[in-house]
Amino acid sequence: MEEKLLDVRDLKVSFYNEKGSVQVVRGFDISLQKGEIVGILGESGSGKTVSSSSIIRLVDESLAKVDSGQAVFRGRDLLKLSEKELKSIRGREISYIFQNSSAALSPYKKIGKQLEEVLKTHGLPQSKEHILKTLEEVGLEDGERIYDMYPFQLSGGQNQRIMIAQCIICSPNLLIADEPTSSIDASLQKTILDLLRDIATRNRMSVIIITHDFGVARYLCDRLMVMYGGLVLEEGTIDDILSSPLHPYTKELIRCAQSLARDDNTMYTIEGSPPTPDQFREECPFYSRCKLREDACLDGIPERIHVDGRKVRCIKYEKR
Amino acid sequence: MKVILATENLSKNYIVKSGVFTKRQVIQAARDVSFKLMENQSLGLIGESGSGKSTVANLILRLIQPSGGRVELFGEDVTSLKEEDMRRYRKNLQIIFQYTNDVLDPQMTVEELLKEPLKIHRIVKDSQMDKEVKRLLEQVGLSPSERWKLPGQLSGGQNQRIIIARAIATRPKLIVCDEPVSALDVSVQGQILNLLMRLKEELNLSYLFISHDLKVIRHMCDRIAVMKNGEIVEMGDTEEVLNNPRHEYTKKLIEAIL
Repeated sequence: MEEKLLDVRDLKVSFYNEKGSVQVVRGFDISLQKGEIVGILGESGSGKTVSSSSIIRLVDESLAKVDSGQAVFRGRDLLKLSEKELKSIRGREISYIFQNSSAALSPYKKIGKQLEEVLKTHGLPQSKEHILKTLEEVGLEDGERIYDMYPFQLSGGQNQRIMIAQCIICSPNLLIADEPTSSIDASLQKTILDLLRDIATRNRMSVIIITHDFGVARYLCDRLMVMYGGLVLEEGTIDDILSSPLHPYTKELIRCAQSLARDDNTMYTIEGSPPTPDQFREECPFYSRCKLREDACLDGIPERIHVDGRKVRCIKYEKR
Repeated sequence: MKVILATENLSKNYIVKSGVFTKRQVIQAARDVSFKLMENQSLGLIGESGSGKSTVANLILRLIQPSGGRVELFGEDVTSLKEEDMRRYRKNLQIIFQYTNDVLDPQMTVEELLKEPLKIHRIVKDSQMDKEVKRLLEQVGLSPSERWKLPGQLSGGQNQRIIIARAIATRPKLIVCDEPVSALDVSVQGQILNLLMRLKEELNLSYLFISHDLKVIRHMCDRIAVMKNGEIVEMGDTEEVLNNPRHEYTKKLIEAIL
């Protein structure tokens, strides 16, 4: 029996500065089953990081404000909780791996001490045994030795594992990983993704992985959401999206990736560049680059259409 | 075919002393690196971070001094050239960095950014300057009307084109490309790769191409050198190395392609 862990609906987030406000997330919906791995694929400025960090309100609230929406996690709307209630959830039930996470480890403290602090923060018993077990879980066999080492004595790959250990030591139900492999070597990428999948399967932990890399998404995810211009333009299982993409943007993106994989003489490209939030209008964000565009695409933001269990924001499907 | 760049047993050692009572330790960031790069060819440098790719690039650009070995540019030994003599070579030798927000001065307009290298190396007369800026913009696929803009008003892909325009402004023969597309969006990467390929033919350029993305390297490079712990462990024609890797480490890198 499938069990729903997280249900985010119609999330909208705006950034504020002295000049005014700009809405950077204009429509974000995600629903996650226990143990499921969902990818959020998007280019820079598409809103993928803001939307997923807004769920646990990790965005600076003096700059960003959630305009509307709900994020129900195990029966409670995260967007309505007090900061104190959220603190008991962050890191304990929902963990977040940041992009460029090498800065997340203190250079002055031994690994064992740093993991102990995570347990202490969440009021859990700080047993060395539990820490060693977690180190083993992230594939660090020499746990006893690493326990007394500093981050600079470890390799980039080992530190990445320590970071994952920090995130899973409290056995969270949900792990949000923002580009977890972008700061590590390509040769280690697969190993880290394999590790995330293993832990997810073993602990029935759900994972939201944020990436701009089709390869990462295909390798790891069960389901994929494609973001562009602050909107989820398409959502479906990874197999459906790769074999029969619905949205023109997804189709073009896959053609770009295939062109590089095939090593064509001339790369297939999408002309133009993705819109930045100040260029967002009440219209389809892909309009200016879309080969199938028509005037009707400019009549407001396309609604979410259900097509054979999948969801897509494109007016071509409204007409069917 | 003309040799544009040759290195011979190029080495760089760093001496590290971690504490008062610990012995000093020598780290060999590059050891005995030897290769040749021919006219209008591209050589890809691959390997994980810390393998010595950037050290080699910096040695060739003479941003750091070698501990041993030599670098020959266009047939002349430049290893011990004085800084003022080196300036002559810098014109022929450019670098394209990975695009980040701090590569281009945010307060300079596109026009100023492009005029800078033209002035420093006295490429054209002052009266020809405006014409040359427009020509460069067109060459990298930007509209001349962009020349009044600041980097902050342009997209990542457009800024990468400006970085490329600055590099080709001095009419170099050799360009070191250090991860030129890895910071770019998927839908824009291909545009930049196509541009670099076109410029290579139009301007008869040679590239020393550094990337962690083997798919990009395969597309761009005629030959590959695989680096590990400061050494070249395998070198050969791109297709040959990728289809038929000999070294265990190369095999590992190829297996890791997603």
